[in-house]
Amino acid sequence: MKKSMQQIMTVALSLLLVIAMVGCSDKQSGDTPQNGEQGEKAGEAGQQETVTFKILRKISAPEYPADGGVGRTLLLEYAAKNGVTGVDFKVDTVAPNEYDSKLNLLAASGELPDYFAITLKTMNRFAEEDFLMELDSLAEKMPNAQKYWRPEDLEAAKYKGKLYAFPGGYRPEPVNRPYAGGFVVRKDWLENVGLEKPETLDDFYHVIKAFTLNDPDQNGENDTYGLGAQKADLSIMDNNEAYFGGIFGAYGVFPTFWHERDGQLKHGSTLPETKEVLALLQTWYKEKLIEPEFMIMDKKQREERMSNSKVGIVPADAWYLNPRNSVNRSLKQAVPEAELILIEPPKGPKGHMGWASKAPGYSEINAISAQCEHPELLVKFLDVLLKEPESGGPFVNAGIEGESFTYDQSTNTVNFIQTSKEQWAMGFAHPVQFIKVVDRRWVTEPTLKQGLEIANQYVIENDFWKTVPAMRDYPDLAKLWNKYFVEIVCGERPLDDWEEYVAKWYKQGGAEVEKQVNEQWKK
Amino acid sequence: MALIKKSFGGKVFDICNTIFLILLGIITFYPFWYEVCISFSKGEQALRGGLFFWPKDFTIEAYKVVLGGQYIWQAFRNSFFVTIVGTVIGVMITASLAYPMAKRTLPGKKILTVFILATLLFHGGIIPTYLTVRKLGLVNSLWALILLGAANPFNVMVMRNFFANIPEEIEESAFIDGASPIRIFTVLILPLSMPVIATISLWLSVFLWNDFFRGVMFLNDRTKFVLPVLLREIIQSESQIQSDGRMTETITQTITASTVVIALIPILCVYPFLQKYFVKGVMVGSVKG
Repeated sequence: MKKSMQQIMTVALSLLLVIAMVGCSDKQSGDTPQNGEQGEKAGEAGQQETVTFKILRKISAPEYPADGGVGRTLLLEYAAKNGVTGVDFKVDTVAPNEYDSKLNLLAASGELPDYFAITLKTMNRFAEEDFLMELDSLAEKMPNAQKYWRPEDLEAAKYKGKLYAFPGGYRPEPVNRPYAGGFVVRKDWLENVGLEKPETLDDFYHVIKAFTLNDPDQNGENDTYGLGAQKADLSIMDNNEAYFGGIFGAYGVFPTFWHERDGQLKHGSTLPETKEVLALLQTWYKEKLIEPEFMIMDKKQREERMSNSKVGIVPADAWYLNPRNSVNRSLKQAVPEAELILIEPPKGPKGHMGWASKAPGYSEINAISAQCEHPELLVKFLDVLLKEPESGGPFVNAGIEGESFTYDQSTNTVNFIQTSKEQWAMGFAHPVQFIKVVDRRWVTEPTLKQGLEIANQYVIENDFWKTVPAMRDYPDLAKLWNKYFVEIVCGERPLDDWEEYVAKWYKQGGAEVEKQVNEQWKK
Repeated sequence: MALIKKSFGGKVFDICNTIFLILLGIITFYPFWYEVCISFSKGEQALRGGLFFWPKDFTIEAYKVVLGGQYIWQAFRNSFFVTIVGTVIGVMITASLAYPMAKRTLPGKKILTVFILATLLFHGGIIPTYLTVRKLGLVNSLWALILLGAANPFNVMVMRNFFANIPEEIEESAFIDGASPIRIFTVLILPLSMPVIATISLWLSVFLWNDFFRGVMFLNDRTKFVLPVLLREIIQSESQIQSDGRMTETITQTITASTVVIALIPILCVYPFLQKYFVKGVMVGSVKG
C-alpha cells in the first residue's frame, strides 16, 4: 500500500515537472527570437546598430512569412542602396475584423508597436490620450510620400490641427483616383430590351422598367428586377450601395453628407431634395422596379443575385467589371454573352449628377507610437520604400520584376505573373505597403479602365467629413435616418412622414450636431 | 420487444415518430452537407447559390488553396497541442478542485465556493486578463490558451455535484480497508466518474479547438497561430483581395466552406470515442441496504 502510494506520488510529481519544463522552454522559445534577432543583427552590422521596427498591419495575409521572407531582405537592400541603413522591421498582421480590439489591448497594456494601422476614430482618441506621435515635422521630410498624398487626406488625418497619421496616397495615372463606385449595368440586357445607356433620370426609369417587365434575360419568366441595393452599414457616411448613390446625386445631395445652404451646413437627409428622391424611390418601389428585399441584402446575397441574372442595375464597385472577378466569371459561365459596364450617373431635373465621394483617408492610415525611439529613421525608411525604382515598375506593391510581374514602360502597364497570395508568400504586396500608394496600372481591360475613369468624374462632395463630439453623443441619428428611409421607400409610411423625420432628427440631437458642425466648419 | 404485440395506434405512432425523427435528422445534417458540397464545388457554381445535394462541377481547388498554405500544418499542430494538453490539464485541475469541495467536512468550504462562483458571475475583462497573461510571460505562447481556461468554475460545479452524488459508503468501505484519500480519489472516485470526466473533456476540447478570440488576442507570431485564427485569416484575405480589385482567382464561398469542413472534422472525431462513457449505471447496486 505504501509502495503504491509512493508510485502515484512519483508519477504525479514527475508529470508536474515535465509540464513545468515544457512550459518554461516554450515560453523561452516564444520570447527570445525578437531579442535574439535584434542582438544578432546588431552584431552583424558591426559598428552601426540596427534598429528593428515593430510594425502592426491591419490585414489578412496568411501566406506572409513570419520572418519577412525574401521580400524583407530585398526591401532592406533597396533602402540601403538609397541611403537608409541600420534598419530592420518585423511585421505582425491582425485580421481587419479583430484589429481594433487588439490595438486597444496593446495600447492599454503599453505595448503599442512602433508603427501601426489605425482608424480615424481611434486616432482621435489615441491622440487625446498621448499615445501617438505628432507627425507634422516628420511628414515634411518625406519627399517621396509627399508626391502621392492628397492634401484633403492629410487634412483628414489631423486632430486639433496636428497630423497624427500618414494617409494612403495615389499614383498620378487616371485609373488611380480614389473612387471606384457607380451603377453597374448589364449591357447585354440593354441590347435585349433595345435601349441605350440611360443619361437622364427619365431614361434611367425607362431602363429599370424594361429590365423588370420586358424579360431582359429572355427566359420567358417575369423574374428580374431593374434596380438592386444593399443593406446599410451605418458606420460609414459614403454609403452609395445602400442609398442608391447616383439617384440622390441626380438631385445634388447625399442623405448622410453635409451640404452648404445659405452659408450654413445642413444635414443632407433634412434637405427638401431628399424628399424628392424619396418620392421617386417610393413610386419605383410601388411599381416593383426595385428589389423588394434591398434593405436586408448583404454582399453575398447581392452577388448571388447578380450572378444569377436577377437584377439589372446595382450601385456597386467597378471591380465587378474585371473579367477575373468571381461574380463576373460566374455570370459569364451561366450566360456567356453577359457583359457588365459602369455607366455615368443619371442626370437629374436640374442637371445635377454624381456619386457620393469617398471619405478622405478612407483607404488606410497609419500612426507612429509616442514611444517609438527612432521616429526620424522610421519615416526615412517608410519614405525610401516609396521611391520609384529606376525601371518604373512597382516594387513594394508587387515584388520582383520578371518573376512577380512584367512591366511595359511604353504603355506604363503592369502585368502580374503571380497572384497576390504568391506575392505575400515572398514577402511583398499588402503586408509591406506601409504607406499604401494606390497603383492600379495592372488595369488594362478597357471596360474596367473606362469604368474607373467614369467613377472619378462625377462626384457629389461632402462639405464636412470630420466628427464632432455631438455625433458621438447621439449615435442613433444614422439609425433614425435609415429607418425612415427604408419605411418610406417601401411605402410603409407616407412620403409626408419625411417632415416628421426631420422634426425628430432635430429633436433627438441633430440640432446640437448641426450647431457643432457649423462652429467647427467656420474655423 | 418483438414479443410484445403492438396495438394499431402504437404502430402508427412508431411510424410517425420515425418519419419525424428522420426529417429532423436531415434538417440538422443538411447545413453541414451543404458546406461539404460547396467546398467541393467549382467557385462559379457556389457563388450562384441555391440548393446543393451534391457538389456541382467537382473540384478540390479550394482545399488546395487552404491546405497549400505555408502555415496550415503548423496551425494544425498548435491546435492539437492546445486541445490535447489543455484538456488533460484542465480535467486534472477541475477534478482535483471539485473533489474536496464535494466533501462536507472541508474547512472553509463556503468561502471557497464563493470564490469560485464569483468568477462565474464577474469577469475580469479582457484588458486585465491580458495584463495578467503578460505578467506571467505567456503572451505569444500557446500556454496562454491552455492555462487560462483550465479551471472553469462552471465545470468545477458540475463535477462537484457529480462527486457529491457518489455514495459516501463506497469511500468509507475503502477507507476501512486502509486506502488513503489520494488513493481513494485516483483509484475509486475517478474511474466511477468517467461519465462526468468524459463530459467535461468534451466541453473543454471543443472549447479549446474552437478558441478563436484568445488566439487572436494572445498570439502574435504566425508560427504560433492556432487553426481558427489562421482559417479566419484565410477567409478574410479572400474578400480583401476582392475589395482591392486585384488578382481574384479564387472564390470566397468555396474557401470558407472548405475551412469549415477542415476545422470541423477533427473535433467531430472526438464524439464517438467519448460516447461510450456517457453511460451512467456503473454504480447501480454497489451500495446495499
